[in-house]
Amino acid sequence: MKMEFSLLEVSKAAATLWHYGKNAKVWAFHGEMGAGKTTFIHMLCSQLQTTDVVSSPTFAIINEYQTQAAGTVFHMDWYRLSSEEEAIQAGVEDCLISGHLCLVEWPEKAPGLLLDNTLHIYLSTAQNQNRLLEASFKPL
Amino acid sequence: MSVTILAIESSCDETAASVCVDGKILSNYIANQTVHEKYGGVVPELASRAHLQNIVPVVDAALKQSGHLLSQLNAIAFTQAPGLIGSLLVGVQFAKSLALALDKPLIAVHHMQAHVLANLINESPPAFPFLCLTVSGGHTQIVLAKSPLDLTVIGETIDDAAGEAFDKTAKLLGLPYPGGPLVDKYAQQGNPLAFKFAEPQIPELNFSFSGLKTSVLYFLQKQTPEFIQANILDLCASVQYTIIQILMKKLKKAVQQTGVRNICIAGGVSANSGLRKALQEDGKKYGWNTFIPPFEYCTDNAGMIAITAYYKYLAGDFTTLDASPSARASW
Repeated sequence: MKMEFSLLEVSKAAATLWHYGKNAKVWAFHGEMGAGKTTFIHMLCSQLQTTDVVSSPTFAIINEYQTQAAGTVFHMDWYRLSSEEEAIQAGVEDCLISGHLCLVEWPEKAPGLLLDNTLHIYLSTAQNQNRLLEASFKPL
Repeated sequence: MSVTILAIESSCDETAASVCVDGKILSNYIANQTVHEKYGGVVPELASRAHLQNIVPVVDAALKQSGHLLSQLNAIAFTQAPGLIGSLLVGVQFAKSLALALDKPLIAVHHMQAHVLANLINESPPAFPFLCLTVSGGHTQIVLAKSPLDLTVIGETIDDAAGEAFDKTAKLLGLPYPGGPLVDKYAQQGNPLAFKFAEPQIPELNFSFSGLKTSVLYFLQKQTPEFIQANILDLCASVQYTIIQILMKKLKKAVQQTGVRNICIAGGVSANSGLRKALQEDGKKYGWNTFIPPFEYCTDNAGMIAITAYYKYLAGDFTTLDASPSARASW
């Protein structure tokens, strides 16, 4: 599926994507720095009625939130990791197989750890500062 | 009778231990190359394995430096949250085992509360109530501290942390990651008003830095590499100026809302020269009493865990052997 949305429509886009992908436990968010990955995940977790503050996990690698709609959610950022070995050391694998929803930024850093039924989401900037989103159960 | 506490910090990249007696820090040890050299092995920056290798030598070193023995301890403290579970687990398990073996009480400390209370490790500490702007690579918060055990987050980031904003814009400028300290160095030689970047319109006392990141990205996309190279000092100065403006605006707003005039900063970004200057200038201008902890207590350290544990000890706030680590940032 494909969407284009403005920065004012991120919340609506997040709701649409949730409807499309809610059976997937692992969501891999691909996109350059500044593409809007954290902002999109922030809105997605708002949709899931989180009681925690959603912020960038770049430093912490793994953030954990409680949500009403999806229970425990792991928000990960693999940007600082340099290998699958490091990702495993950081405890990423435990989250991926936990059965809880995992939202992963910079999945390219350890693609071998992603499960088969991962939902791949590609974010990029379009004209007028809009964002383009393409989602697929197969890596593009 | 004096109170002697051993504190252990292992929430992220650093393994650290500290001994404090009656709130006075006697040792503040952080695992670094010297520990590794002494015990052999490499430095896997991000592994719980590194904590496992470090924890015994680090605790040993902290005890030795303090001149205290395990038998003299009154309590063992550890960082319980937030952080990487694998990393936290090493400190939590070590502290629990030690407490069990020595039959001493255990104290669980929240890392972000400890950053705030690091301000009490000071010859003339702030009086309560005070406001603390905690800025690091992973966090950006304004905390209202009414007493050592009454800390409330009144504002925080909804996306990137301030330190991350420095590191990521540095990356966009073609500087190595993490480039925060380099931005600071270049900024001191540049014109902070040379370029204008977007400031967020976020309600209340919360912060957002992703808009700034995007604003810098869009600006740079329109420039040639030569232009960026030629203007790197001014670009760094302008980015740094914008980040500090965002921080100081919310801090001023927090002062207006709370009426509190004792203002502290904490966290690794409090090493930034521009932020220190802005805090001192605004302090003078608005009549604030400003406080900045010594740098070794700004970045992740165990001294701040020890001072927090000391106040928890006085309040009888102990935890049990079934304590477990948590990645959740709220308290």
